[in-house]
Amino acid sequence: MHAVWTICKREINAFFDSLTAYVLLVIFLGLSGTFTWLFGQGDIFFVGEASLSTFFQVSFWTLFFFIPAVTMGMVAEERRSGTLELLATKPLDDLQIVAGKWLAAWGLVAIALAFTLPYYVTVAQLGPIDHGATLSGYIGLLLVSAVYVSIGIFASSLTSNQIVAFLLSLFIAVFLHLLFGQMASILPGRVANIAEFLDLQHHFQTMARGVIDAASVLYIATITIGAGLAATVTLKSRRWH
Amino acid sequence: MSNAFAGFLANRREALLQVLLIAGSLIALTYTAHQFVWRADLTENNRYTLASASHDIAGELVDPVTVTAYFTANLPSRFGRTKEEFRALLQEFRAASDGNVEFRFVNPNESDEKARAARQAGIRPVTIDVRQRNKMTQKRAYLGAVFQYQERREVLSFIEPGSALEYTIASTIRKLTTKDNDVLGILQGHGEPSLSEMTQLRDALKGRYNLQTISGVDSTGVPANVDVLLVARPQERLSTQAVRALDQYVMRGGRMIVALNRARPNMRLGRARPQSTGLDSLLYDYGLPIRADLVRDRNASAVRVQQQRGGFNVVNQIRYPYIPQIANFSSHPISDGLDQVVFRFASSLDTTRTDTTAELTVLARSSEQSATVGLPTSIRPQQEWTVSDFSGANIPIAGVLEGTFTSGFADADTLSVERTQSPDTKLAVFGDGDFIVNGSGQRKRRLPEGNINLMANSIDYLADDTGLIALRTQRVTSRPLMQLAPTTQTVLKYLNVLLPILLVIGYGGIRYRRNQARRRRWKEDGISA
Repeated sequence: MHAVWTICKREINAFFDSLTAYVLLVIFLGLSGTFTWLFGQGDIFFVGEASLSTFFQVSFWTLFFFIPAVTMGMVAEERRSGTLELLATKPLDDLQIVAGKWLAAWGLVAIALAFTLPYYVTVAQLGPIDHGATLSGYIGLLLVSAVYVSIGIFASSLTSNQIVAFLLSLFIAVFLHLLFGQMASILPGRVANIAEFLDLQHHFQTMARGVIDAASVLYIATITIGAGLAATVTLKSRRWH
Repeated sequence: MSNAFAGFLANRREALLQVLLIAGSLIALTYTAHQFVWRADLTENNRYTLASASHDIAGELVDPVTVTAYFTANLPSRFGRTKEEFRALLQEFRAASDGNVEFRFVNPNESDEKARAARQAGIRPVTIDVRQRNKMTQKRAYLGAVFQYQERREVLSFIEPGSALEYTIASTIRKLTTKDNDVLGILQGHGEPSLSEMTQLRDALKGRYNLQTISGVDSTGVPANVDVLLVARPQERLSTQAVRALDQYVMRGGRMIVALNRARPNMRLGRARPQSTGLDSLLYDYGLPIRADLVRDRNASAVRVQQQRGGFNVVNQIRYPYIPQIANFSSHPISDGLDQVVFRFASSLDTTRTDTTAELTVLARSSEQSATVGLPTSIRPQQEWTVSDFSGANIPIAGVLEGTFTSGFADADTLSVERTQSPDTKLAVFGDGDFIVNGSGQRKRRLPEGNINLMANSIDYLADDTGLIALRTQRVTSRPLMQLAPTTQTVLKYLNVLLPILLVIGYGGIRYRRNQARRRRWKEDGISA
């Protein structure tokens, strides 16, 4: 666990020492803020309800692009620059490397979301906000992020090109984000139910309105662990020859 | 290398096995969790946790209920919220019914064809104001749904924003799946108004209940198939045998509504005298008798009165305190949300006899300026009223008792009764028998909606075995934002957009300067950065 934590700290420090980090965070907060407060389907004042549901819907989309951008270089860049081989000489297992990087990326998302707490404070001052539903919405965003982070690291482990990793990560995530939902609406009966269960948006919508379902949490954990495992297998496979 | 993971994914073959094992376990776990639904509802008032009544209704479905919801897209928040809540609750019903509730949403504004289909299905479009680019426009909106079960269908032509949606969905499904309607017995034979004299109530209950007039109870008793018995305004005294039949009906667990006139007014003489129906002692034994008095209330309806003014006869509209307008209701599924009920020559309920095991809820009370007067009394409309005539307040006029009752004939020497103790049941009592009577011929009058709703709600409450009616009071909570000046709104909007960004940039600046300082220190110490 100590090794995982060391890698995590190193990643977070490296992230905040690069200009990319600030550009990404400013884009994420700029988009979330603009569509929550100024434009979009309805800004908070236009909707007139003391609720952060607009923000949750916007963030669900911004995170979809933000996370692949955060994770794209995590393994790919190390592979390109050769530091991955350097890491292999340390007393570290590939699983620990993946776990450390996953924790770092997820922590970064949590930090990015923490910067949106002024939204909550403002709305709570202006009306009787449902605190439980808001907490559930944030938990939903963190859980969805956990999936995207895993997929992002897996995509990054497959290539040494960051752009390829970014696009690959989006390609895989788009199934969970969009396509299963679309399939659920056109497929018949039981197959539609399966497609709906695989649709991440369906699980997120449930959490965004304040309900946390054990099946949703386990489904998200399955995808997260599955993608993390796939990333570990990719790294390990270098040593199998 | 750390030993803890030494064997993990060590070679291709082991990796394949290990990955399959882990993935298989996770999928099995997720599938199990999907079968045994466990969910935490973090919302205030557990908004998305279905009541046990709703669970029972959804769980008993054997065939799918198909819901086609016709909702216009991009509506103002109040309507949009109703759509989302409706969708969320349908999802909960689907989960509770193991997939037996299927639904789809259609936007009738998308095409003329869809709009036509919605109207043909019985959905009523409404015109609402919509703000578009700071300009108000009117939009034709649909907020309705069609429920289909086997060959039967129910249409919700308009779903009122803010209404009790869980109750709406559950009761609609129940209506579709229940083959036999409950039987509402209406006692006759003692001067009670016939169904044709209660047209508004009859129309309100049509289709929901099998209405059955019950006469000759003194010889045959109350039929066993009666779910709720309405005893409304008998004008003649009931025989002991008839009272005993009603008593035994309650003792069998029957639910009864009693709406009695304890005063017999005579407008020509300007006097009201007491009248007895034979049910007074029975209500006394059950624990909620009606007093032989009259309630007068400052908040009252107006009547036309002929008055002498300087040798002329003038017709004036004056407030008549014996026709109280009641707006003081308790928070109970029967009375919640009622606006106003108008009683005529109502008597008060005696709520002091609380030594029964039944739980009492007073449904309706007079206003803060009201009083009771004993009978007989003058009821002349021309009477001049003073403040001291309304020295009382909150006099109970309607109530409901729930629990077990002891027979009114339990201690009688001469009349032996089959049962002396009732199981859990319900009894509603009204200190006025006229408030649901439209009358007939020339004297027929239209009653306020509140009067009919009060009685229909009481019948629903008494007939309901599932506890579903308690959901009627559960409404979608509105959480309006404070009204702010446009300038304040703009400031807050930009503050929220810019503050997080400035915080990030500020943190970046501080970190950059700290790193610069560190590098400078290292340089000074002769360490290359």
